[in-house]
Amino acid sequence: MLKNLLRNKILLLFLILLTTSIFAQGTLDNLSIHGFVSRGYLKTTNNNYLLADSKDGSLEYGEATLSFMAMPSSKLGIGAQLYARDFGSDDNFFVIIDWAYGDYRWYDYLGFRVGRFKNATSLYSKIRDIDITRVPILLPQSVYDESGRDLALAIDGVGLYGRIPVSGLGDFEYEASYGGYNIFNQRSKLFTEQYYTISSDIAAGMSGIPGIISANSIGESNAKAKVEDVMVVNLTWHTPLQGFKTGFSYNTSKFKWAFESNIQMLFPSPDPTNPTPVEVVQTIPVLGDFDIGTKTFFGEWQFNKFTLAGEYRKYVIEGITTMDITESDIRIPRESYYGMGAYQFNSWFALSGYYSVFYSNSDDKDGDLLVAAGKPDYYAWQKDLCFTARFDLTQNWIFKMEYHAINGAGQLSQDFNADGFEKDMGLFILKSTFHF
Amino acid sequence: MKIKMKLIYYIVLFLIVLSTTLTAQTSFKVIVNAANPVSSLSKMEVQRCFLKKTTQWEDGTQIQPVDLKSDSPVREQFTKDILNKTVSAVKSYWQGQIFSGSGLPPQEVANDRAVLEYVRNNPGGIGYVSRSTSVGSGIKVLTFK
Repeated sequence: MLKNLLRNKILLLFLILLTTSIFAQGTLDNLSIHGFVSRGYLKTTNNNYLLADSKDGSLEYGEATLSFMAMPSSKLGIGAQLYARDFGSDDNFFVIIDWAYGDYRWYDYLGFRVGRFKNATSLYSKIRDIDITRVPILLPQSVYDESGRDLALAIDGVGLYGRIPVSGLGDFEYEASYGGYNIFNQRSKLFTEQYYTISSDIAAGMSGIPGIISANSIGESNAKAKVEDVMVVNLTWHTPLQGFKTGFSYNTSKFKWAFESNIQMLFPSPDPTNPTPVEVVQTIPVLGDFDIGTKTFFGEWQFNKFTLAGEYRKYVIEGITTMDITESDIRIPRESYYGMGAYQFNSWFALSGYYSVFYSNSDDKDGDLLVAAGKPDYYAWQKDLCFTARFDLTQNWIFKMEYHAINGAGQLSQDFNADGFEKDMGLFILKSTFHF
Repeated sequence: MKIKMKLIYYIVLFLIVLSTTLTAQTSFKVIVNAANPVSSLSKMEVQRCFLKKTTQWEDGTQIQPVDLKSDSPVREQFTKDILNKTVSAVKSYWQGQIFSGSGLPPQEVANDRAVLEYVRNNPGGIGYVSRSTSVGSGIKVLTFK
């Protein structure tokens, strides 16, 4: 494990900077170390969601983080964070470098970042994994879809940021960054779900070819995915109305993947004395090349014990999937939004609720196209009503309970629900976190 | 439609006025090092200092805010009046800053005496103490704009 970590150039850079700064100061006084560890229990009714066996209830839901930050000078900050999580069959506490970068705040209106850092693609994108900072356990999945998490964790690149006060109008805060995403988990649910769908489609297509008895997908191999040319721009207006901010984020990227789809085909036996069908496994290379564009509008009002927040997102992925010698154009416009409210009753108890809506194809919100294709209309959307209770048992120990009433199957995994989806389902989560 | 827009305008205006006039009666005073040329700040400016949105005084000196412990009644009042949040919300804000790598919270000290000592020893220091606390030499009490 250590060997793997040391191979990572970013961590190495961080270690050099950190060591240099400590030696330069001759002290560890400015080194700040924080962390948290959590464990959860997740159970669903009617459909499996997030985890493959969620209907049975699962304890495979936890995370651990250790972060280091130092300020070698008043303008220079450096830091790194190690992060690991257990999320069903994904991750299994594989340790990643969540972020590691140097930050030079030249002036309050102009700072620079280099390294791996979190993106400001939405209101809570930088803290999506840090549920101790909020009341809900899961952020609204319409905007913070867990299956897309691997594409939004952090950027390896450069960034500019700053905050400009304007007399009488509040403050304007901006962030702009450019780089690429480091996809840690090449077998993440985000990709395997797509691989599964494409391979199933290829097999179905082959089954219809005269002379083939049947064709089935038997899995994928040599899968690789990468995201390049990521550009993120975020502008937030901290209005004169105390605690109210609103803003806009725009990001684009190029997403490429390649894998081999292995199709098992059965042909009629050429030998009349032996009717056993002949089995042939064909490997079909599949390439995907897509442009992703996301626009997000957001607002949040924090006033004393109240927090109100909402986001609206338009997301378009378009490109070409090449399967062997055939090509297909893909364009998927998606739309999502949510409204959320939270109230802090006292220092140890808070409640929150949100309503989150996701459309898997914003040109077909009612699912008419799906019905025409022989599928239920409710595959077109996912509407989630969620309530959470948070208990701060001590200064460092949090316990949360959360319930989701979900209508529609727009974000459910076919891989987890081979027999199709029920229209309505429930999701119940318990989670406890210790932090320091 | 016109009436609706007017109503929204007056509601927003009322909320802005409400949110900027809550500092009229405070149970604390905001202090800086006596060498600091600044003698008055708006509520928004103090807020920016304590959330580290503004990090330098006008002369380029680093702003060094200091907080009382989270169970202090003075901190609770300061947080409510100046930051417009609960102490829990401010802690959550700093946890978000820490774990996203965006920044570190102000140093926390145990009592007013420790706040005075910190501000006295740091030219860029800014803190708050109970209104009844005598600040002594080397400290300047700020007025609100």
